[in-house]
Amino acid sequence: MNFYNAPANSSTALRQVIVSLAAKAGTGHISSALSMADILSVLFFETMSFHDGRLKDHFVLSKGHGSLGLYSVLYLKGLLKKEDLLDYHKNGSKMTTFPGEPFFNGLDFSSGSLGHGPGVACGLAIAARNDKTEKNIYCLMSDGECQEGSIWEAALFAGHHQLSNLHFIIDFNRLQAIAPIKDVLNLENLAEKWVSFGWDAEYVDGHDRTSLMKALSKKSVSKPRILIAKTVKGKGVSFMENSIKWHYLPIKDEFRDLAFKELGL
Amino acid sequence: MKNALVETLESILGSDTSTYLLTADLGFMALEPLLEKYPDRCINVGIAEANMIGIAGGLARAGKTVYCYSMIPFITLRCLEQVRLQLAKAQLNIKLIGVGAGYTYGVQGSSHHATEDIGLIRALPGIAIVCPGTAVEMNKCLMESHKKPGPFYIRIGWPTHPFEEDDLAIDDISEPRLINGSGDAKHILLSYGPSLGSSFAAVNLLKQREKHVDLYSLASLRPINWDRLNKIIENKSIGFIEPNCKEGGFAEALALEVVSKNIPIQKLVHLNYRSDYFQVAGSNKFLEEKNNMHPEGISDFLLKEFFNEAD
Repeated sequence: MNFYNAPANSSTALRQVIVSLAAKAGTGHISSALSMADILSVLFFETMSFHDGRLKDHFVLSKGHGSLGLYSVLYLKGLLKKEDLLDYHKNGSKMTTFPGEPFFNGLDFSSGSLGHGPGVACGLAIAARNDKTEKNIYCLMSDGECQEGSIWEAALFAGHHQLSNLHFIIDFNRLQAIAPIKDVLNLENLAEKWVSFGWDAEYVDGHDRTSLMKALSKKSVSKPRILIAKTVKGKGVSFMENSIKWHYLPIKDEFRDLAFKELGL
Repeated sequence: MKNALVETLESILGSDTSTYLLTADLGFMALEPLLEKYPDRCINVGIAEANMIGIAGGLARAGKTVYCYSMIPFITLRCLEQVRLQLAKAQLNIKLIGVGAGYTYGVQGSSHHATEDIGLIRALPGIAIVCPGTAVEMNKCLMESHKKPGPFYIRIGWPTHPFEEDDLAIDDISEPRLINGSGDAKHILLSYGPSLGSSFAAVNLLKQREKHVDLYSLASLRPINWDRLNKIIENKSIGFIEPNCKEGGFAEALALEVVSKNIPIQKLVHLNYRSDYFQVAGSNKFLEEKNNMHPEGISDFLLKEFFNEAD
Protein backbone atom coordinates (compact mmCIF):
# COMPACT_ATOMS: atom_id res chain seq x y z
CA MET A 1 0.00 0.00 0.00
CA ASN A 2 1.28 3.47 -0.87
CA PHE A 3 0.81 5.77 2.05
CA TYR A 4 1.25 8.94 0.02
CA ASN A 5 1.40 10.24 -3.53
CA ALA A 6 2.26 13.91 -2.96
CA PRO A 7 5.88 15.16 -2.73
CA ALA A 8 7.43 13.91 0.51
CA ASN A 9 8.27 17.40 1.71
CA SER A 10 4.68 18.61 1.42
CA SER A 11 2.05 18.95 4.12
CA THR A 12 -0.32 16.92 1.96
CA ALA A 13 2.03 13.94 1.97
CA LEU A 14 2.30 14.15 5.75
CA ARG A 15 -1.48 14.21 6.15
CA GLN A 16 -1.77 11.28 3.75
CA VAL A 17 0.68 9.20 5.79
CA ILE A 18 -0.97 10.17 9.08
CA VAL A 19 -4.41 9.06 7.97
CA SER A 20 -3.14 5.94 6.17
CA LEU A 21 -1.20 4.82 9.22
CA ALA A 22 -4.07 5.58 11.59
CA ALA A 23 -6.50 3.64 9.40
CA LYS A 24 -4.14 0.67 9.17
CA ALA A 25 -3.53 0.58 12.91
CA GLY A 26 -7.14 1.38 13.81
CA THR A 27 -5.95 4.06 16.18
CA GLY A 28 -7.13 7.48 17.36
CA HIS A 29 -5.44 10.83 18.08
CA ILE A 30 -5.67 11.56 14.35
CA SER A 31 -6.99 15.10 14.53
CA SER A 32 -4.20 16.17 16.90
CA ALA A 33 -1.63 14.97 14.38
CA LEU A 34 -3.43 16.65 11.46
CA SER A 35 -3.54 20.02 13.19
CA MET A 36 0.26 20.11 13.57
CA ALA A 37 1.10 18.59 10.18
CA ASP A 38 2.17 21.86 8.54
CA ILE A 39 4.31 22.78 11.55
CA LEU A 40 6.07 19.40 11.52
CA SER A 41 6.57 19.41 7.78
CA VAL A 42 8.14 22.89 7.84
CA LEU A 43 10.31 22.05 10.87
CA PHE A 44 11.70 18.84 9.39
CA PHE A 45 11.98 19.90 5.74
CA GLU A 46 12.75 23.60 5.98
CA THR A 47 13.86 24.76 9.41
CA MET A 48 15.94 22.24 11.36
CA SER A 49 19.50 21.36 10.41
CA PHE A 50 20.55 17.86 9.46
CA HIS A 51 23.96 16.41 8.80
CA ASP A 52 24.58 12.97 7.30
CA GLY A 53 20.98 12.03 7.91
CA ARG A 54 21.04 13.02 11.55
CA LEU A 55 19.34 15.94 13.21
CA LYS A 56 21.86 18.57 14.31
CA ASP A 57 19.34 20.65 16.22
CA HIS A 58 17.13 19.21 18.94
CA PHE A 59 13.45 18.42 18.71
CA VAL A 60 11.17 17.75 21.67
CA LEU A 61 7.60 16.65 21.10
CA SER A 62 5.85 17.65 24.28
CA LYS A 63 2.38 16.84 22.94
CA GLY A 64 3.17 13.15 22.71
CA HIS A 65 -0.37 12.32 21.59
CA GLY A 66 0.65 13.78 18.23
CA SER A 67 3.05 10.92 17.63
CA LEU A 68 1.22 9.81 14.49
CA GLY A 69 2.45 13.06 12.97
CA LEU A 70 5.96 12.63 14.31
CA TYR A 71 6.38 9.04 13.09
CA SER A 72 4.95 10.03 9.73
CA VAL A 73 7.31 12.97 9.21
CA LEU A 74 10.30 10.88 10.36
CA TYR A 75 9.30 8.35 7.71
CA LEU A 76 8.92 10.98 4.99
CA LYS A 77 12.28 12.47 5.96
CA GLY A 78 13.92 9.07 5.68
CA LEU A 79 14.69 8.85 9.40
CA LEU A 80 12.29 5.97 10.04
CA LYS A 81 12.07 2.86 7.89
CA LYS A 82 8.74 1.88 6.39
CA GLU A 83 8.83 -1.49 8.13
CA ASP A 84 9.21 0.29 11.46
CA LEU A 85 6.38 2.66 10.60
CA LEU A 86 4.18 -0.32 9.76
CA ASP A 87 4.87 -1.68 13.24
CA TYR A 88 2.84 1.18 14.71
CA HIS A 89 0.82 -0.22 17.62
CA LYS A 90 1.79 -3.80 16.85
CA ASN A 91 2.27 -6.03 19.87
CA GLY A 92 5.92 -6.10 20.82
CA SER A 93 6.98 -3.15 18.66
CA LYS A 94 8.51 0.06 19.99
CA MET A 95 5.93 2.10 18.10
CA THR A 96 3.69 3.08 20.98
CA THR A 97 1.21 5.94 20.83
CA PHE A 98 3.45 7.96 23.06
CA PRO A 99 7.03 7.68 21.82
CA GLY A 100 9.27 6.16 24.44
CA GLU A 101 12.90 5.28 24.87
CA PRO A 102 15.14 4.45 23.12
CA PHE A 103 15.04 7.59 21.10
CA PHE A 104 14.37 7.75 17.41
CA ASN A 105 16.73 9.68 15.20
CA GLY A 106 15.18 13.10 15.03
CA LEU A 107 13.60 12.96 18.45
CA ASP A 108 15.18 13.93 21.74
CA PHE A 109 12.25 13.45 24.00
CA SER A 110 8.57 12.88 23.86
CA SER A 111 6.05 12.08 26.44
CA GLY A 112 2.41 11.26 26.68
CA SER A 113 2.18 12.96 30.04
CA LEU A 114 1.71 16.58 29.15
CA GLY A 115 3.92 19.34 30.52
CA HIS A 116 7.24 17.48 30.49
CA GLY A 117 8.79 18.68 27.24
CA PRO A 118 9.57 22.33 28.02
CA GLY A 119 11.80 21.55 31.02
CA VAL A 120 13.79 19.06 28.97
CA ALA A 121 14.09 21.61 26.17
CA CYS A 122 15.47 24.14 28.69
CA GLY A 123 18.15 21.65 29.76
CA LEU A 124 19.11 21.01 26.13
CA ALA A 125 19.28 24.77 25.58
CA ILE A 126 21.54 25.37 28.58
CA ALA A 127 23.87 22.58 27.45
CA ALA A 128 23.97 23.88 23.86
CA ARG A 129 24.76 27.39 25.04
CA ASN A 130 27.44 26.35 27.54
CA ASP A 131 29.01 24.08 24.92
CA LYS A 132 29.06 27.06 22.56
CA THR A 133 27.19 25.26 19.79
CA GLU A 134 24.90 26.82 17.22
CA LYS A 135 22.17 24.28 17.93
CA ASN A 136 18.58 25.39 18.20
CA ILE A 137 16.07 23.58 20.35
CA TYR A 138 12.51 23.23 19.10
CA CYS A 139 9.69 22.12 21.36
CA LEU A 140 6.18 21.50 20.03
CA MET A 141 3.40 21.71 22.58
CA SER A 142 -0.37 21.62 22.59
CA ASP A 143 -2.49 24.54 23.71
CA GLY A 144 -4.37 22.60 26.38
CA GLU A 145 -0.98 21.57 27.71
CA CYS A 146 -0.51 25.16 28.88
CA GLN A 147 -2.86 24.26 31.73
CA GLU A 148 -0.01 22.23 33.28
CA GLY A 149 1.92 24.17 35.90
CA SER A 150 5.28 22.73 34.82
CA ILE A 151 4.95 24.63 31.50
CA TRP A 152 5.11 27.90 33.37
CA GLU A 153 8.03 26.77 35.53
CA ALA A 154 9.97 26.23 32.31
CA ALA A 155 8.68 29.49 30.82
CA LEU A 156 9.98 31.45 33.82
CA PHE A 157 13.33 29.67 33.71
CA ALA A 158 13.91 30.18 29.99
CA GLY A 159 12.92 33.83 30.15
CA HIS A 160 15.15 34.50 33.13
CA HIS A 161 18.14 32.76 31.56
CA GLN A 162 17.54 34.40 28.18
CA LEU A 163 17.68 31.10 26.30
CA SER A 164 17.61 32.59 22.80
CA ASN A 165 18.35 29.19 21.22
CA LEU A 166 14.98 27.95 22.42
CA HIS A 167 11.95 27.91 20.11
CA PHE A 168 8.57 26.74 21.35
CA ILE A 169 5.61 26.23 19.06
CA ILE A 170 2.09 25.88 20.39
CA ASP A 171 -0.38 23.99 18.23
CA PHE A 172 -3.23 26.34 19.08
CA ASN A 173 -6.26 24.43 17.82
CA ARG A 174 -8.51 25.52 20.70
CA LEU A 175 -9.81 22.04 21.51
CA GLN A 176 -8.62 19.82 24.33
CA ALA A 177 -9.47 16.18 24.96
CA ILE A 178 -13.14 16.40 25.85
CA ALA A 179 -14.14 20.05 25.54
CA PRO A 180 -13.24 23.39 23.97
CA ILE A 181 -10.43 25.13 25.82
CA LYS A 182 -12.49 28.28 26.38
CA ASP A 183 -14.99 26.22 28.37
CA VAL A 184 -12.38 24.49 30.54
CA LEU A 185 -9.58 26.92 31.34
CA ASN A 186 -9.53 29.84 28.98
CA LEU A 187 -6.19 30.58 27.29
CA GLU A 188 -7.00 33.87 25.62
CA ASN A 189 -4.19 36.44 25.50
CA LEU A 190 -1.74 33.57 25.41
CA ALA A 191 0.98 35.57 23.67
CA GLU A 192 0.75 38.26 26.32
CA LYS A 193 1.19 35.64 29.01
CA TRP A 194 4.44 34.42 27.44
CA VAL A 195 5.68 37.96 26.84
CA SER A 196 5.17 38.70 30.52
CA PHE A 197 7.44 35.70 31.26
CA GLY A 198 10.26 37.27 29.22
CA TRP A 199 9.63 35.67 25.83
CA ASP A 200 9.22 36.98 22.33
CA ALA A 201 5.81 35.71 21.24
CA GLU A 202 4.18 35.79 17.84
CA TYR A 203 0.91 34.52 16.42
CA VAL A 204 1.17 32.75 13.10
CA ASP A 205 -1.16 30.92 10.75
CA GLY A 206 -0.24 27.33 11.58
CA HIS A 207 -1.34 26.07 8.18
CA ASP A 208 0.51 28.63 6.05
CA ARG A 209 3.93 27.19 5.29
CA THR A 210 5.40 30.50 4.16
CA SER A 211 4.36 32.25 7.35
CA LEU A 212 5.63 29.34 9.44
CA MET A 213 9.00 29.30 7.66
CA LYS A 214 9.42 33.02 8.12
CA ALA A 215 8.44 32.96 11.78
CA LEU A 216 10.62 29.93 12.57
CA SER A 217 13.65 31.51 10.93
CA LYS A 218 13.63 34.46 13.33
CA LYS A 219 15.86 34.48 16.37
CA SER A 220 15.84 36.89 19.27
CA VAL A 221 19.09 38.27 20.61
CA SER A 222 18.38 37.62 24.24
CA LYS A 223 14.99 35.97 24.57
CA PRO A 224 13.45 32.59 23.90
CA ARG A 225 10.79 32.64 21.20
CA ILE A 226 7.35 31.13 21.06
CA LEU A 227 5.08 30.83 18.06
CA ILE A 228 1.42 30.45 18.77
CA ALA A 229 0.34 28.67 15.64
CA LYS A 230 -3.36 29.08 15.00
CA THR A 231 -4.52 25.75 13.68
CA VAL A 232 -7.65 23.74 13.04
CA LYS A 233 -7.87 20.41 14.78
CA GLY A 234 -8.31 17.69 12.16
CA LYS A 235 -7.18 20.03 9.36
CA GLY A 236 -7.47 18.47 5.92
CA VAL A 237 -10.28 16.02 6.65
CA SER A 238 -13.53 17.98 6.62
CA PHE A 239 -15.58 15.88 9.04
CA MET A 240 -12.75 15.88 11.59
CA GLU A 241 -12.16 19.61 11.54
CA ASN A 242 -13.05 21.31 14.83
CA SER A 243 -14.71 18.15 16.07
CA ILE A 244 -14.08 17.05 19.65
CA LYS A 245 -14.92 13.40 19.06
CA TRP A 246 -12.09 12.85 16.58
CA HIS A 247 -9.54 13.48 19.31
CA TYR A 248 -9.90 9.84 20.31
CA LEU A 249 -11.91 7.99 17.64
CA PRO A 250 -10.22 5.60 15.23
CA ILE A 251 -11.11 5.90 11.57
CA LYS A 252 -12.97 3.05 9.87
CA ASP A 253 -15.16 2.06 6.95
CA GLU A 254 -16.93 4.91 5.19
CA PHE A 255 -15.08 7.54 7.22
CA ARG A 256 -11.76 6.06 6.15
CA ASP A 257 -12.84 6.05 2.50
CA LEU A 258 -14.05 9.63 2.70
CA ALA A 259 -10.84 10.82 4.40
CA PHE A 260 -8.70 9.07 1.78
CA LYS A 261 -10.75 10.69 -0.97
CA GLU A 262 -10.45 14.18 0.52
CA LEU A 263 -6.68 13.76 0.86
CA GLY A 264 -6.30 12.54 -2.70
CA LEU A 265 -5.40 8.95 -1.90
CA MET B 1 28.38 15.16 57.15
CA LYS B 2 27.34 18.43 55.56
CA ASN B 3 31.01 19.34 55.10
CA ALA B 4 31.64 15.99 53.46
CA LEU B 5 28.68 16.59 51.14
CA VAL B 6 29.88 20.00 49.99
CA GLU B 7 33.56 19.07 49.80
CA THR B 8 32.86 15.97 47.74
CA LEU B 9 30.54 17.84 45.41
CA GLU B 10 33.19 20.50 44.96
CA SER B 11 35.76 17.86 44.18
CA ILE B 12 33.48 16.26 41.58
CA LEU B 13 32.58 19.59 39.96
CA GLY B 14 36.22 20.63 39.91
CA SER B 15 37.42 17.44 38.28
CA ASP B 16 34.67 17.01 35.70
CA THR B 17 33.52 19.98 33.64
CA SER B 18 30.61 18.00 32.24
CA THR B 19 29.01 17.71 35.68
CA TYR B 20 26.19 20.10 36.64
CA LEU B 21 24.53 20.86 39.96
CA LEU B 22 20.95 22.13 40.05
CA THR B 23 19.18 23.24 43.20
CA ALA B 24 15.54 24.17 43.69
CA ASP B 25 16.49 27.13 45.87
CA LEU B 26 17.76 25.04 48.78
CA GLY B 27 21.20 24.45 50.27
CA PHE B 28 21.48 27.49 52.54
CA MET B 29 24.93 27.70 54.16
CA ALA B 30 26.07 24.80 52.01
CA LEU B 31 25.85 25.24 48.25
CA GLU B 32 26.56 28.97 47.95
CA PRO B 33 30.31 28.58 47.29
CA LEU B 34 29.60 26.10 44.49
CA LEU B 35 26.98 28.37 42.90
CA GLU B 36 29.49 31.20 43.00
CA LYS B 37 32.48 29.21 41.77
CA TYR B 38 30.75 27.46 38.85
CA PRO B 39 27.94 29.81 37.77
CA ASP B 40 27.48 28.14 34.37
CA ARG B 41 27.20 24.63 35.80
CA CYS B 42 25.69 25.21 39.22
CA ILE B 43 22.25 26.73 38.79
CA ASN B 44 19.55 27.70 41.22
CA VAL B 45 16.56 26.85 39.04
CA GLY B 46 14.07 28.39 41.45
CA ILE B 47 11.37 26.76 43.52
CA ALA B 48 10.33 24.49 40.71
CA GLU B 49 11.28 20.87 41.32
CA ALA B 50 9.40 19.43 38.36
CA ASN B 51 11.20 21.80 36.04
CA MET B 52 14.52 21.00 37.73
CA ILE B 53 14.17 17.31 36.85
CA GLY B 54 13.10 18.25 33.32
CA ILE B 55 16.15 20.50 32.89
CA ALA B 56 18.31 17.69 34.23
CA GLY B 57 16.76 15.42 31.59
CA GLY B 58 17.76 17.84 28.84
CA LEU B 59 21.26 18.31 30.17
CA ALA B 60 21.75 14.57 30.60
CA ARG B 61 20.56 13.96 27.04
CA ALA B 62 23.29 16.38 25.96
CA GLY B 63 25.86 14.18 27.70
CA LYS B 64 26.06 15.86 31.09
CA THR B 65 26.07 14.31 34.56
CA VAL B 66 23.52 16.21 36.61
CA TYR B 67 23.09 16.43 40.39
CA CYS B 68 19.73 17.78 41.55
CA TYR B 69 19.43 19.03 45.11
CA SER B 70 16.37 19.65 47.26
CA MET B 71 14.59 18.47 50.38
CA ILE B 72 13.35 14.92 50.08
CA PRO B 73 9.59 15.52 49.93
CA PHE B 74 10.07 18.05 47.16
CA ILE B 75 12.56 16.07 45.08
CA THR B 76 10.55 12.84 45.29
CA LEU B 77 6.84 13.37 45.90
CA ARG B 78 6.51 16.76 44.21
CA CYS B 79 8.04 15.64 40.93
CA LEU B 80 7.59 11.88 41.01
CA GLU B 81 6.38 11.64 37.41
CA GLN B 82 9.40 13.59 36.16
CA VAL B 83 11.63 11.22 38.18
CA ARG B 84 9.78 8.26 36.68
CA LEU B 85 10.26 9.46 33.08
CA GLN B 86 13.73 11.04 33.22
CA LEU B 87 15.44 8.67 35.66
CA ALA B 88 13.62 5.33 35.81
CA LYS B 89 12.38 5.13 32.23
CA ALA B 90 15.11 6.96 30.32
CA GLN B 91 17.94 5.78 32.63
CA LEU B 92 19.69 9.12 32.28
CA ASN B 93 22.74 10.25 34.19
CA ILE B 94 20.82 12.16 36.84
CA LYS B 95 21.65 11.99 40.55
CA LEU B 96 19.03 13.16 43.02
CA ILE B 97 20.38 14.50 46.30
CA GLY B 98 17.53 14.49 48.79
CA VAL B 99 18.20 16.05 52.18
CA GLY B 100 16.11 15.68 55.30
CA ALA B 101 15.71 11.91 55.65
CA GLY B 102 13.29 10.99 58.41
CA TYR B 103 12.83 13.79 60.91
CA THR B 104 15.94 15.80 60.09
CA TYR B 105 13.71 18.86 59.70
CA GLY B 106 11.56 17.80 62.65
CA VAL B 107 10.19 21.10 63.90
CA GLN B 108 9.18 22.17 60.40
CA GLY B 109 6.30 19.70 60.55
CA SER B 110 5.25 16.66 58.61
CA SER B 111 5.30 18.42 55.21
CA HIS B 112 9.08 18.46 55.61
CA HIS B 113 9.47 14.96 57.05
CA ALA B 114 10.66 12.17 54.79
CA THR B 115 9.39 8.80 55.91
CA GLU B 116 7.91 7.28 52.74
CA ASP B 117 10.49 8.06 50.07
CA ILE B 118 12.39 4.77 50.23
CA GLY B 119 9.21 3.00 49.13
CA LEU B 120 8.54 5.56 46.42
CA ILE B 121 11.96 5.28 44.84
CA ARG B 122 12.18 1.51 45.35
CA ALA B 123 9.00 1.23 43.29
CA LEU B 124 10.75 2.89 40.35
CA PRO B 125 13.12 0.54 38.53
CA GLY B 126 16.77 1.15 37.82
CA ILE B 127 17.52 3.94 40.28
CA ALA B 128 20.42 3.22 42.64
CA ILE B 129 19.55 4.13 46.24
CA VAL B 130 22.34 5.12 48.64
CA CYS B 131 21.87 6.33 52.20
CA PRO B 132 25.06 7.54 53.85
CA GLY B 133 25.10 7.38 57.64
CA THR B 134 28.51 8.92 58.25
CA ALA B 135 30.79 11.50 56.64
CA VAL B 136 32.94 8.71 55.23
CA GLU B 137 29.93 7.04 53.68
CA MET B 138 28.79 10.40 52.30
CA ASN B 139 32.04 10.77 50.43
CA LYS B 140 31.99 7.20 49.15
CA CYS B 141 28.34 7.33 48.06
CA LEU B 142 28.81 10.58 46.15
CA MET B 143 32.00 9.39 44.48
CA GLU B 144 30.26 6.17 43.52
CA SER B 145 27.33 8.10 42.06
CA HIS B 146 29.74 10.06 39.88
CA LYS B 147 31.72 7.03 38.82
CA LYS B 148 28.73 4.91 37.82
CA PRO B 149 26.53 6.04 34.94
CA GLY B 150 22.78 6.08 35.39
CA PRO B 151 20.31 7.42 37.90
CA PHE B 152 20.99 7.62 41.64
CA TYR B 153 18.96 8.64 44.66
CA ILE B 154 21.27 9.91 47.39
CA ARG B 155 19.22 10.08 50.56
CA ILE B 156 20.72 12.26 53.24
CA GLY B 157 19.67 12.88 56.83
CA TRP B 158 21.57 14.38 59.69
CA PRO B 159 21.92 11.80 62.49
CA THR B 160 20.95 12.61 66.06
CA HIS B 161 23.91 10.59 67.31
CA PRO B 162 26.70 11.05 64.79
CA PHE B 163 29.89 9.11 65.17
CA GLU B 164 33.26 9.43 63.55
CA GLU B 165 34.85 6.65 61.61
CA ASP B 166 38.24 6.36 60.09
CA ASP B 167 38.42 6.99 56.40
CA LEU B 168 38.64 3.29 55.69
CA ALA B 169 38.69 2.10 52.16
CA ILE B 170 35.19 1.08 51.18
CA ASP B 171 35.75 -0.87 48.02
CA ASP B 172 32.15 -1.54 47.27
CA ILE B 173 29.31 0.40 48.88
CA SER B 174 26.86 -2.34 47.94
CA GLU B 175 28.56 -4.60 50.53
CA PRO B 176 26.97 -4.63 54.00
CA ARG B 177 29.72 -3.32 56.26
CA LEU B 178 30.44 -4.30 59.87
CA ILE B 179 30.82 -1.08 61.84
CA ASN B 180 30.34 -2.16 65.46
CA GLY B 181 30.97 -5.58 66.97
CA SER B 182 33.21 -8.55 66.49
CA GLY B 183 31.54 -10.09 63.48
CA ASP B 184 30.75 -13.34 65.24
CA ALA B 185 27.78 -12.39 67.42
CA LYS B 186 24.58 -14.43 67.25
CA HIS B 187 22.61 -11.25 66.88
CA ILE B 188 22.76 -8.94 63.89
CA LEU B 189 21.60 -5.37 63.68
CA LEU B 190 21.13 -3.73 60.29
CA SER B 191 20.61 -0.04 59.73
CA TYR B 192 21.34 2.86 57.40
CA GLY B 193 21.27 6.62 57.02
CA PRO B 194 20.29 8.75 60.01
CA SER B 195 19.45 5.68 62.12
CA LEU B 196 22.97 4.33 61.83
CA GLY B 197 24.34 6.61 64.57
CA SER B 198 21.54 5.75 67.02
CA SER B 199 21.99 2.05 66.25
CA PHE B 200 25.73 2.43 66.84
CA ALA B 201 25.05 4.02 70.23
CA ALA B 202 22.48 1.33 71.07
CA VAL B 203 25.01 -1.44 70.41
CA ASN B 204 27.41 0.34 72.77
CA LEU B 205 24.69 0.47 75.45
CA LEU B 206 24.18 -3.28 75.07
CA LYS B 207 27.91 -3.88 75.31
CA GLN B 208 27.84 -2.25 78.73
CA ARG B 209 25.44 -5.01 79.76
CA GLU B 210 27.63 -7.74 78.20
CA LYS B 211 25.17 -8.20 75.37
CA HIS B 212 26.84 -8.51 72.01
CA VAL B 213 25.28 -7.46 68.75
CA ASP B 214 27.02 -6.92 65.42
CA LEU B 215 25.93 -3.76 63.62
CA TYR B 216 26.14 -3.64 59.84
CA SER B 217 25.63 -0.55 57.74
CA LEU B 218 23.66 -0.78 54.52
CA ALA B 219 24.87 2.38 52.80
CA SER B 220 23.50 1.11 49.51
CA LEU B 221 20.01 -0.34 49.35
CA ARG B 222 20.11 -0.77 45.58
CA PRO B 223 22.27 -2.38 44.42
CA ILE B 224 23.03 -4.48 47.44
CA ASN B 225 25.15 -7.59 47.64
CA TRP B 226 22.40 -10.02 48.62
CA ASP B 227 24.73 -13.03 48.65
CA ARG B 228 26.92 -11.35 51.23
CA LEU B 229 23.96 -10.12 53.26
CA ASN B 230 22.32 -13.54 53.25
CA LYS B 231 25.53 -15.10 54.55
CA ILE B 232 25.73 -12.49 57.32
CA ILE B 233 22.20 -13.14 58.54
CA GLU B 234 22.20 -16.92 58.16
CA ASN B 235 21.14 -18.63 61.39
CA LYS B 236 21.17 -15.31 63.22
CA SER B 237 18.60 -13.18 64.97
CA ILE B 238 18.18 -10.05 62.93
CA GLY B 239 17.09 -6.61 63.96
CA PHE B 240 16.43 -3.92 61.36
CA ILE B 241 16.37 -0.27 62.38
CA GLU B 242 14.99 1.64 59.45
CA PRO B 243 14.56 5.43 59.13
CA ASN B 244 11.49 5.07 56.92
CA CYS B 245 7.96 3.80 57.43
CA LYS B 246 7.57 0.06 57.05
CA GLU B 247 5.40 0.33 53.93
CA GLY B 248 7.81 0.03 51.04
CA GLY B 249 10.78 0.17 53.37
CA PHE B 250 13.84 -2.02 52.98
CA ALA B 251 12.75 -4.29 55.84
CA GLU B 252 10.02 -5.49 53.49
CA ALA B 253 12.61 -6.34 50.85
CA LEU B 254 14.70 -8.20 53.41
CA ALA B 255 11.69 -10.19 54.65
CA LEU B 256 10.79 -11.16 51.09
CA GLU B 257 14.37 -12.22 50.40
CA VAL B 258 14.46 -14.39 53.51
CA VAL B 259 11.14 -16.05 52.74
CA SER B 260 11.58 -16.50 48.99
CA LYS B 261 15.11 -17.90 49.29
CA ASN B 262 14.34 -19.87 52.42
CA ILE B 263 17.26 -18.34 54.31
CA PRO B 264 17.49 -20.00 57.72
CA ILE B 265 17.26 -17.35 60.43
CA GLN B 266 16.31 -17.28 64.10
CA LYS B 267 14.03 -14.29 63.85
CA LEU B 268 13.57 -10.96 62.09
CA VAL B 269 12.37 -7.95 64.05
CA HIS B 270 12.29 -4.34 63.00
CA LEU B 271 11.72 -0.79 64.10
CA ASN B 272 10.45 1.62 61.47
CA TYR B 273 9.22 5.18 61.60
CA ARG B 274 5.48 5.43 62.17
CA SER B 275 3.26 5.19 59.11
CA ASP B 276 1.10 8.20 59.85
CA TYR B 277 2.12 11.83 60.26
CA PHE B 278 3.09 13.66 63.39
CA GLN B 279 0.69 16.50 64.05
CA VAL B 280 2.97 18.09 66.62
CA ALA B 281 6.18 20.07 66.52
CA GLY B 282 9.29 18.28 67.63
CA SER B 283 13.02 18.18 67.14
CA ASN B 284 14.71 15.35 65.27
CA LYS B 285 15.66 13.84 68.65
CA PHE B 286 12.18 14.27 70.11
CA LEU B 287 10.47 12.60 67.16
CA GLU B 288 13.05 9.82 67.03
CA GLU B 289 12.27 9.09 70.68
CA LYS B 290 8.55 9.12 69.93
CA ASN B 291 9.29 6.37 67.43
CA ASN B 292 11.31 4.51 70.07
CA MET B 293 14.27 4.66 67.69
CA HIS B 294 16.70 6.56 69.90
CA PRO B 295 19.65 4.61 71.35
CA GLU B 296 17.84 3.66 74.57
CA GLY B 297 14.69 2.68 72.66
CA ILE B 298 16.63 0.48 70.24
CA SER B 299 18.63 -1.04 73.08
CA ASP B 300 15.49 -1.85 75.10
CA PHE B 301 13.83 -3.30 72.00
CA LEU B 302 16.79 -5.58 71.34
CA LEU B 303 17.08 -6.63 75.00
CA LYS B 304 13.51 -7.85 74.79
CA GLU B 305 13.64 -9.35 71.30
CA PHE B 306 17.14 -10.83 71.32
CA PHE B 307 17.83 -11.49 74.99
CA ASN B 308 14.35 -11.92 76.38
CA GLU B 309 14.96 -9.21 78.94
CA ALA B 310 12.54 -6.42 79.65
CA ASP B 311 14.27 -3.33 81.03
